[in-house]
Amino acid sequence: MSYSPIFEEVIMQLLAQSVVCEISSPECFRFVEQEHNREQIDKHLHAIGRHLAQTSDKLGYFCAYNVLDTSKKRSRTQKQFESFVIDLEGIIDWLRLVRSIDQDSRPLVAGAQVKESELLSAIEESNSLKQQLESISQKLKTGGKSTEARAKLTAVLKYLVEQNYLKPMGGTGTQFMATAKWSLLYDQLDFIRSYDAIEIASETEQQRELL
Amino acid sequence: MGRREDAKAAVGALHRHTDALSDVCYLNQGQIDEVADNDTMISTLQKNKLAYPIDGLSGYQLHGKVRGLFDHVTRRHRYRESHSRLAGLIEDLESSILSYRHAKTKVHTDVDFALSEVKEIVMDIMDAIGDTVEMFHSVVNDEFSVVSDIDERIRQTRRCIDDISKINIVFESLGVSQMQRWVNVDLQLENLLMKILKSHVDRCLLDLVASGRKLHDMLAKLITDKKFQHVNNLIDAFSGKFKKDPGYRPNIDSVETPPDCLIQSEAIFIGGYANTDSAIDEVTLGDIAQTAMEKREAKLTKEHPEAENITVEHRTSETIEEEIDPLIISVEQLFDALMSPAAPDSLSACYAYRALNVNATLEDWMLTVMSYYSAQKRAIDPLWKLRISTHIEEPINGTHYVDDITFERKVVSHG
Repeated sequence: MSYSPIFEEVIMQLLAQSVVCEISSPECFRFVEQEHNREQIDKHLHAIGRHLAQTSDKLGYFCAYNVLDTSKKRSRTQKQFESFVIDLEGIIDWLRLVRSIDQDSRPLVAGAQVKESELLSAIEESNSLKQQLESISQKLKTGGKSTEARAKLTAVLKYLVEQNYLKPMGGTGTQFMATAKWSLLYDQLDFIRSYDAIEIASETEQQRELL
Repeated sequence: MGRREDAKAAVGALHRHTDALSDVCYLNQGQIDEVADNDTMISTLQKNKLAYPIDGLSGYQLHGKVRGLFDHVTRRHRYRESHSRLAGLIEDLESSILSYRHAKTKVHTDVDFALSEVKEIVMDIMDAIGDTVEMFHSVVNDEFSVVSDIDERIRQTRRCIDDISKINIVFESLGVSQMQRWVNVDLQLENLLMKILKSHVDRCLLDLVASGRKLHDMLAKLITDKKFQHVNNLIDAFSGKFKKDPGYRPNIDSVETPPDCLIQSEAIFIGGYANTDSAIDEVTLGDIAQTAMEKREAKLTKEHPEAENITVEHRTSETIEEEIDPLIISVEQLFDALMSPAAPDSLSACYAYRALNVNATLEDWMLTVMSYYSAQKRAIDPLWKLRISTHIEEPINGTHYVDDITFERKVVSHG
């Protein structure tokens, strides 16, 4: 196989634990979308005990271990999971906040737009949303000492950008696009939900709660 | 009677005579013949305001609402029936065209009658196509609105899309090439098929395409809605769990074979380390270090551009007195002593070190003396001979440790 810069870029991104998607790196994503390239990448990763995996909504690719055959791999995976769990509650609260601001109550999924100004105007109009943001900021340890909603929101967004959940769009730094890391998160949540047998509230219960 | 009783009685009346009513709706345009067999049905329906007598005619008319109800609940079935009817009609058309052509070649056969048969079937086809497309259109627009379950709606939409592809097969058999084959060179058939039927087919096809597009949009939206519903359920489930059980921390330690999403491999940052223990890469490492240093220097210069522009001050009027190092002064004193007429015949550097009370280590003193001697060698050598006393520390015998440097006066012979 001859040298291909895009192949190199994809491999480097996958090995750096990125989720390759249309939003985070369009060129790489389009490259992986082609079956032949996917096979080559997978073959390459197999040689180092890894493989190319895809999120269930098919919006993102990531690199996963073939098997957890050594204690080293197992402990690394557990360590990663622990750090994921630390922020989980804050992330869930953030998802609820964004969903409650959306007109159609749509959840944040890959490709969705996040506008800081829209979030801020909704938060500033509602005390309950302000409290939610305050709580998220504490749980994600992003707020600092500032009491202003704007500063807190900016810090949370910055944190989500650092964690590759959001990608800034345009030059203003106030518009973002959700990446397929959310898809990976939902897959993880789905597994944990069935593993820990967490009940999904029925529609009737949800209606009752709303009432 | 009360509201509920009235409703029960009406539904009961319909239920008791379903078969007869279905025939009345679809075979008799809603007209109920006044015959003995229908007496009970007529009186029950009349009692429940579901039929009324037709003015000036014998018989009764079924209420439009009842026909509407039957239409509504049998729409899908009727659509399927009409679909197969259409396929059958096309076969009929083909054979009637053959009969017409055959009639044209015979002398005593009625060509006009054969042609009128073809016309009749074409009209039937046009009606059937119109009905099918119209029915399909209403299926797409109305039927699903009463279904609230997303899965059921997705299932129904998919089924409808399958049906649309079947209808398309029927339309394919009414394509231009097929019609041209039927028409051949017959002008009457050309007018009938290529103009009348074709324009009708085209119009219906446009409607069908619009319905198909709408169906695909509906399906895409339903799938997205389902995905959103699933994600929203997940978010709510975890939010509820964290509220109910504030100390909840998921744990996957005991999962034997975790799914891919939980075994994402850790980040690898690719890099390399040079083997500094081996001399084999010495030259390469030297080059790398040199390049790195050059880059670093360039970067520093860039970061501190003021270092490049040193301001030069004109200070020629001032006199700056250079301070001489005391060690140098002591060395100069030693060599001054050597060159003076009162110098002894032999002078040791160690002795001088102690005598001059030099404020430096003995090693520094010896080294400075040697370098001064090297510089002044031409003047000193004619008068003084240098003797260096050394010792060796075993087992390494290649290194000579200098104990003292002694200057011995040379004996000058006067011819």
